[in-house]
Amino acid sequence: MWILFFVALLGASVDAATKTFNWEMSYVAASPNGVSRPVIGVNGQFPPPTIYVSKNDQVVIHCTNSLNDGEFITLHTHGIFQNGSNYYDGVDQVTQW
Amino acid sequence: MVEHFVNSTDGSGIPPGQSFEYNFSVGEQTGTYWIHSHVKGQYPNGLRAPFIVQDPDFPYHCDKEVVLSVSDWVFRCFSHLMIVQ
Repeated sequence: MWILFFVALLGASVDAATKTFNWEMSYVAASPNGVSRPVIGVNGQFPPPTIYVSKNDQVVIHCTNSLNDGEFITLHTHGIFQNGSNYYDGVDQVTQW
Repeated sequence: MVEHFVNSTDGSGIPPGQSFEYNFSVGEQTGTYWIHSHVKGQYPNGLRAPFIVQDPDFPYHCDKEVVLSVSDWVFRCFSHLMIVQ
């Protein structure tokens, strides 16, 4: 019985980690279809990098707005429930001001 | 708690030149989502990326995984197509 109990505990343990991303947004030039135009890059890169995290991870995204057109930025994680963290949902004028 | 930077008539979100930290748990969710700006036409202008929450107990085997991101594209900044009030 004790062995079963410990095995169950191991199975229930969660390998949660904190994943940190540093994103600085600025305009860069890109021509994905052959025509150069300004686009928003992340750390000078377009397209922005894909974010990979795992179940139960704590996600930290440190954003810096380096746009030169005077606009604000938010980052909305579409589809993420944000249970208990609605203020990090990133929808301007709804969950972020 | 609501994150508040400036008077809402100036705009909302992260002001130019400033930083902000999003800090949240994805909990038990797994799957393919995306992250994008929610200000005006910024995400068609490029501020969008896949946001993938991997499941360590994924039940299916696959030989290769490919991420395909599909978007509208226009020749100039999307704001030219938006009606600005």
